[in-house]
Parts: sequence; C-alpha cells; structure tokens
Amino acid sequence: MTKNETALGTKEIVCILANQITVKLYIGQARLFSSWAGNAAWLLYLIGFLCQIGIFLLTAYIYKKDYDLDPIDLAGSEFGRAGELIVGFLFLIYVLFSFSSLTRLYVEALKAAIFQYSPVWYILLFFLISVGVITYLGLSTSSALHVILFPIILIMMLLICIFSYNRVDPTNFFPIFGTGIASIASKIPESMGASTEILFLYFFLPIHNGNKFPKKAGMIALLIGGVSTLISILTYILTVAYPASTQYFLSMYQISRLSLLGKILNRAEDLFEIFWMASVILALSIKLWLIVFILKKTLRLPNDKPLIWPVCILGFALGFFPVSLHDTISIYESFYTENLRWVIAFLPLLVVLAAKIKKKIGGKNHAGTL
Amino acid sequence: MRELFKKAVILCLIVLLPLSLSGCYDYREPEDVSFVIAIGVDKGENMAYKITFQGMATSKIKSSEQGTEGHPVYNTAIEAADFQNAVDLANSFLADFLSFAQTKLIVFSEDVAKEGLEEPLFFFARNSEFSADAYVAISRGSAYDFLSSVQPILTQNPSKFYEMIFESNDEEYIPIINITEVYYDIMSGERQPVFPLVAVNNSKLNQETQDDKESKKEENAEGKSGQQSDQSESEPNEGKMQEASQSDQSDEQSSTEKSSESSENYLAGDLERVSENNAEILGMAILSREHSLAATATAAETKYYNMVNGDFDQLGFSLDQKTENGEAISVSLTGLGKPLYSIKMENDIPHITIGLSFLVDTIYLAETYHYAENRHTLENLLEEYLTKNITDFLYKTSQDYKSDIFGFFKLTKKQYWDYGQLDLDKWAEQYENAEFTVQVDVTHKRSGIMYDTSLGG
Repeated sequence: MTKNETALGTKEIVCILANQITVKLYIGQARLFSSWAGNAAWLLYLIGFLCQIGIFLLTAYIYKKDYDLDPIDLAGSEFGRAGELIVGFLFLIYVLFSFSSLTRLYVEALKAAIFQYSPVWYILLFFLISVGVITYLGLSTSSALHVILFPIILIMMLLICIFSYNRVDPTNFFPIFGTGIASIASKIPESMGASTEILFLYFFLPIHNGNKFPKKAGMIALLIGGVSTLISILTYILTVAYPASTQYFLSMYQISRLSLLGKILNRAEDLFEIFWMASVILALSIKLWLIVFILKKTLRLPNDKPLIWPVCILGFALGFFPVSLHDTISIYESFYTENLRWVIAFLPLLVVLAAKIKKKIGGKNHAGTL
Repeated sequence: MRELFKKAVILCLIVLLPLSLSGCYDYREPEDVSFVIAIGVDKGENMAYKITFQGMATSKIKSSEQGTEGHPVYNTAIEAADFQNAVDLANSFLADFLSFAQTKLIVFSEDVAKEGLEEPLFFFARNSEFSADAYVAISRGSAYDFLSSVQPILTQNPSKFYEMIFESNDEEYIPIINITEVYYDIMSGERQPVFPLVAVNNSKLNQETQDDKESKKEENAEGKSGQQSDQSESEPNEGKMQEASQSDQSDEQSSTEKSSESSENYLAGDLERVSENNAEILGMAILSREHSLAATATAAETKYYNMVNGDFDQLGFSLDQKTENGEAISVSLTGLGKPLYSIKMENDIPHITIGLSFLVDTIYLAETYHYAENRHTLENLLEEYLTKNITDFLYKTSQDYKSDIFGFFKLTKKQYWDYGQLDLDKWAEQYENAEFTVQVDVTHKRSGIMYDTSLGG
C-alpha cells in the first residue's frame, strides 16, 4: 500500500494500536499476570508498561529522522536484501504467532462461555469470513471501523470494571508484593511484552498522513491501552481472590459475570461478548493486513490481495496445532509471551540503532576516502 | 460517499456476523428447554451422588394455577458418578433439554457436606452455564426432600421464591452468600465459608396440622362411603385428642424453657409453625478448614454473624432480657456505618476488636416501661445484651468450631509483604486463642408513632 492509497491519521492509529493492546484481556491477560505475580499482577503490569513507554520514547527519538520508512525498508536501505529478509522474517514470525494464538484462544473462549454446543470449526468459519473480508476491503475501511467501534468497546470495558465495585474486596490487595519481589522482578521482561503491539506503529509510518514521526499517536495509544488494561487487571485481582485468580482462563468474562450489570440484567455477561468479538475481529484484521504487508515487502510481490485468503486460512489452521487447548496455552505462554513477544519489542530499536551505526560508519569511511 | 457508506454498512454487518452463531448449533426453542431452577446433591446409595433437578416446565407456566396438578415445577433425582454424568443420564429420560442458565439454588445435603464440599462444589463453580450468583445451601437431611417440600405460597414461581429469600438483605436469619464467594474462600483458605441452612419443617405443630388434614380427608372419604360406625370413629379421635393434649403440655414446657434461654435458638426444620410450605431456611452451616461441615449455627447466632459482617439493612430484635416489670422489648436495629475491625498480635495471640454501631427504633415496649425516663437504660441494656451474645458467638467460632468464618485472617494480610510470609496453619492455631473485644454503641432514634408508650406518659 502506498501513501496515495491509504493515509492514516492520529485518530485511526490510536484506535488501532490501543485495540491491539487491550484485546489480549479477552484471552486471559489478567490471569496470566496473576499467575506470574499473584495479587501484585497490577504492579507487574505497571512496571512492564513503564518500561515499554521508555523503549518507545527511546525508539521514537532515534527513529524521528526516518519517519517515512518502516523497519523493513530501513533494514533494506542499510543492509540490503539480507537485512530486509531477516527483519521481515522476524516480524512475520511474531505477527503470525500473535494472529494464530489470538484466533485459537478467543474462539475457544467463545465456545466455553457461550457456544458450548457449536463445533470450533463452525465458529472459526464466521471469524474467517469476517476477518478476511475486512482485510480485503483495505486498511482505510478497517481503520474507519476502529474509529467507530473502539470507543464503544472501551466504554463497555470500563463499565464492567465500574459495575464490579460491589464485588471488590480491598483485602485482596494485600500482601502488596503478591508472590514476592523476586518473582515480580523475574517477570518484568515478559510483562513489558504486553504492549509490544505498539511496534505496529512503525509499519504505519509510510502511510501516516503527517510529516513527522507520530510519537504523540503512539503515546496516546500506549496510555489508553495501558491504563485500561491496568484498570481491568486491578479490578480482576480485587474481585477474584488469589489463588482463584490464576484459574480463570476467561478473566474478563469472569469479571463481567460478577458485575452488578450481570445481576440487574439477568445473565447480561453474554452481551459483552458482542463488543469483545468486534474487538477481536478488528484486531485480527489488522494482524492479517500486517502479515500480508510484510510478505509483500520481503518477497517483493507486486500485489498483496491474492495473499489475503490463503494467509487467513493458514493462520487460522496454525492456531489449531496442537489440538489440545491446554498445549496451545502452554506454548502460547512459554514460547510467545515469555520469550518471543518481549524480545521482538526491542526489534525496531535494534533495527534503527543498527541503521544509524551503519550510516555513521559508512559516512566516516566515505569522509576518509575523500 | 455512497461507496463509503455501502462499505461501512457491509463491514458492520460482517462484524456482527458471528452473532448469528447462536442460531445454529446452540439454538434451542424455549418450549424444548427445561430451566433447572434448583439442584440438590445427596449421597447416592449405589453411586457417589444422588443429584436432584428441580425444573420448570415452561409450557405449563401460563395456564397453571398453584396446586399439584399443572404445577410448573418437577423434581427428578438420579444417581450418578458426578454432576455431568447425572445431566447426561437425565437427558435420556427427560424429553426437554436441561438448561442451567437460570439455576438459582444448589443444595448440598449434610451427609455430602460432612465428607467435604470441595469436589461437589467445583462441578458448579467451574461450569460457565451456572450464574456466578447462584445461591448455595446445606440441608439438614436430604436435599431431595427439601426441594420437594418447596411449595411457595405467595408466588407460583419457586425461582422467585429463592431470589426473595436468599438475596434479600432483610433475611436476617441466613447468611447471604453465593457459589463464587464460597469457591474463592475454599480456594484461598483465608476464610471458612458459611452456608444458609435449609430443612423440611418437622415441628410438632406442623405435623399435627398435617395429621389433622389427613384425618379430615379420611373422614370425608368415610362419610361418603357411610360404612363406619360412630363408635369406631370416636375411639381413635379421643386417642388423638389425648395425645395432642399431652404433646401440647410437653410443648408448652419446652417452649417455656426455650424462651427463657433465647427466643431464636432454632435451626432450620425446628421452628414451631404451620404452613403449606414446609421448606424452611433458617440458621447457617459452618465449614471447617478441611471444607467439611463443622457445625450448625442457630437463627440467633446467624443474626450475630450478619451484624459482625455488616450484612443487613435492618433487623428486628426481641430482647430476652426482661424489663424491671418482666416485659419483653422489641426493637428494630439499623447499622450505623460499616463495622470496624482491628487486629493486634501480642505474643502470638490475635487481639481482635470489633466496633459496631446501631440505631434503634423501638417497636414494642411494655406499657409499664417508662421510655422517656429510661431511654439511656434501654440503650445500655441493648449494648450489654449484644456485646455479651456477640462475644460468646465469636469465642464459639474460634474455640468450638475452629473456623475463621469472618475472615479475620484477611485483615492481617496488610502486615505482610508477600504470600511467602503468610502462614494459614499458624493462623489457625492463633485463632483458637484469639481474644475478642466487642464494642457496641446503640443510639435510640425513634419510638414509632408514640412518644412514650407508658401509661400516663
């Protein structure tokens, strides 16, 4: 996609990135943090979030002169084809894993919570059609949908938290360091990875409609996504006592079951799934767009549209290996959240740093030969 | 512009497409579904459990009058290895599809509770079909018998009956608790959960009335056939009358004894009453640290439990202690703010202080009681009475039941930095030696529509 085809403004970028950060709440992000730090899950998330802000600000500072190049372009301009392929491949693994795991975990969550008698393939078919068509219609329409739907999704999320006040037990806040300072410290890199999706911003650079690096959009997205995630995790640990808080695979769903809204409107928790479903479909469509975008760039393809459906089907199919959900969650947690995700968070910084160093060395050599 | 609008409409439809999923495999016609409103869990004779489903036949709700015929509720019991097994087996002989989306109550029999509630409770706590707010209770005797005895009088719908009883803050004689809270308590071990106690009423008064009803039915049947002689009719009646008068005497004696101790020392099933609805919900069951039934608490003790927890809006209170002229006092208590707790550890002994403030409205005072003169005496009388009884109950929980049902342990968590420092076993030992100080502050607020009830003002 070129600048002429699509142009993303600050609003669109904020909604897309914030949705990418918050969507993980629907597949048990709060539970994951609780399993790492007990009732200090909020503290661990906060530390990781502040680290992620630090990385983003540092990357944005170094990146600001190359505001119209995405990381693959940047690697290609300094390191040639090899640089393009390596950086493209690493990002591709990350996004593909993120796409497949979100698909599998959310579809399984839907099955467990609402569609208990529907086969998974059947639920998946609906997701495949929705995600595929949205991506096929282009990033501009997808971003417009984000602008319309994300604020509603966010309001619903906050409403669930507010209406859970009757279930909040302040004693769940203590002991303040949960499972201990050592366990919190050991999980800081992993928790930092919870906002890794901010790196999508670097792929929007060529299609951003401004004339400078969209640092403001990135910061707003990080703050909206991070603060709403923090509120949700805090609500979760205050309403669900540890160690039960390490058990609920659908942590956000559990909060909604306990909220007063669910009591006023009998079994209203299922209603929230509508908004979560919209959030997941939108997030998946952006991930799919990014996979196709990276493939097109790294393989230097003339057109990306023919890739959409095969990649969508492949990504969904990958989500079902291994067959056992328990194994999928284990792999998701041990490989993706505990290793891949936070390492990839540094990749834009490493690419831009390497490019700068290369430029500097190249400049010196050039000056030397003169 | 038109093109963009078209795209937006298509996209919105696509985003909403998965919503239509509910109309496929998970589709159920309402008349094909039987909503199970209550579940009973008893010990099985041949299998591990006997599960009772109290279901609503939705097709009968519209047309039926209250009564046995056309009543929209049915009770069916099945022996099974576990809950899911029971559901699968029940679906083999019940035409309707069982749905637990509207289940209000899960009753465990005391036999099941004595063996430990961890396993049977987890069937329900982990099942998303059940509401997180489903009420739980422990029955004296069989859970099946209790569910069968539920015949609500003022509402045809037992589901509404359960809601009104188990959810109301006016129900001072039972603890308000749901399955999720119990699950959290069991998982964390930081508080021993309590359950509302339920039973079938077996009071003499109720049995006599039922015997009378049955004998009247028999008489009517006999009258119609006209076969029996006058003599043969009078003999058993006389016998019954004698028995009744004897039991009346013994009842009077026992009730006098009871009232001299406390007017609310009842457990579910023991209340002397007459009603078409034999189901009784009164008092509470207390779990031990091993999650099995440790003890049952009377209606009066449950009231103290609710007072200490602050779980009530307003509660009626009859003072057993008499006035100087031997008359009882009835008051209505309203909590003034939340109870205040503080815990100090001294030599490994927790010193627990509980501050309770109440506003009092007098409902009944003897005409001989000079309220205007004795207002402060009345306040003191109530303060002393509540302090003594609540303190006694607190010591009972720590020394007799050995169960921290109020969750005082949770208040001690502030003192620690992380879970590694918490020691639940140590707390259990410490709690047995806990020292309680109860500070009750009663302020008289109103005296009903009369300024002074005493004769002559």
